Amino acid sequence: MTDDAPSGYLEFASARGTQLFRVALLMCGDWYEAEDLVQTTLAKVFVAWTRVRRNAEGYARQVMLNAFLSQRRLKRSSELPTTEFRDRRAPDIDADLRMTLLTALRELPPRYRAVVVLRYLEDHSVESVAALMGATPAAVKSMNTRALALLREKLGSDLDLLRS
Amino acid sequence: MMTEEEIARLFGRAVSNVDWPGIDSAIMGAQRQARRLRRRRRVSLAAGGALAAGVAGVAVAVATGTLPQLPGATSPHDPAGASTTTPAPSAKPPSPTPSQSISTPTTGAQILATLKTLLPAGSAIANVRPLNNTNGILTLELDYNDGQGAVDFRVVISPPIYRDGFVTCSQVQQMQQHFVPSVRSEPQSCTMRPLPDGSTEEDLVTDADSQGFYDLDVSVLKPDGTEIDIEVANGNLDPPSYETVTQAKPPGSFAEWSAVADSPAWHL
Repeated sequence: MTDDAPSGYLEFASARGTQLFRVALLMCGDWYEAEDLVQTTLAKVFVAWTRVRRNAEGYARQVMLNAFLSQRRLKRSSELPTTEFRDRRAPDIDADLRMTLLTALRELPPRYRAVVVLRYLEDHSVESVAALMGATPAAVKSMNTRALALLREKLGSDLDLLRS
Repeated sequence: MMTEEEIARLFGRAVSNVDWPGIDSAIMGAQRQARRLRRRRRVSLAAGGALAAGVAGVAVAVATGTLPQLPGATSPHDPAGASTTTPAPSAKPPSPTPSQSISTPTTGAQILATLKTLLPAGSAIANVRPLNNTNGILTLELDYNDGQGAVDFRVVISPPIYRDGFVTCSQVQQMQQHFVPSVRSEPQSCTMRPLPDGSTEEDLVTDADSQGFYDLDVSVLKPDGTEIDIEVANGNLDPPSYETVTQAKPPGSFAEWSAVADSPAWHL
């Protein structure tokens, strides 16, 4: 099935795929969109593997962010807010928390969403996020502040539940 | 107010239990998507060069009042004798003249309507998907089935501005030599020949992947610079099946697909 993959690619994809998916899930707010985003990312990493293998992790992050923002730009005009997500996983103890957070995140502008996911899930510094997004650190700080304010507003009374 | 540390913990908790059961199929799908990207890169590489050459040519024409230099056997990408798998004919791709201009389909629906009149009787098509073409190149993809299994089928119509992008046999060889060595049921080959009306036809058996997935590709460069390209694979890369090889060889022969690509029916 995969014997034409270049050396090291499958190990990378298997080891990092799930974490890429988690990031994609928070960015997209939709299981299937996240799957598509990660698959597209892995495909581009595959094509460029020889060139990027020494920094595959960074390259994958960059490709995924670009694809996400590009996808968002294309879909922005027709995108409608929704409170329902197609999470086909069996419920787990944090399922409610996840759905609440995804709902709130999905109401943020895509670039804001990308900033907070990279900052708070991936623990990137402001400078690192700025480099990934092609923005200045000041712009990232500004987006981060606004995103947090919006997130707190959207989460509203659910914050207490989430703290528990 | 929720602190940044609490936000970070919240994000972590929200996805820490998320497993991704689809990871294996996504990795497999990514590799198939990558093969498609490589195939398209083959075309876009040439098309990009053609566009640049076309723009430069227009600049020359504006500056000098003459038509730009036309491509041919003197193309820097295909120096004489550099053709690899099968030698290219000495005939140059035809030169355009205003009287030779032809009108070809300009929408996916027109391509489909024309194609339906040219496909062999008894064959079936499904999952027709016109691609978004913002660069003037019209592409229609569909699943073609001759009764032996659905395969990817593509019709690509490139306007005269891309005539410099006609991918010669030596360019094909250069582009494919970097691919992973593969198995195949027939050897990679590339043949170019002149047609009686001044067109140039190229018959290509592409490189194959490890599963033996490959295309027959017949391209006809018309005298006015319009290129009509028929690509027939021996499998299907698209979801939901993500199937690869459905037939040992792509259906049909070069002669049959040549008749389709070179049909007057494309000239509206």
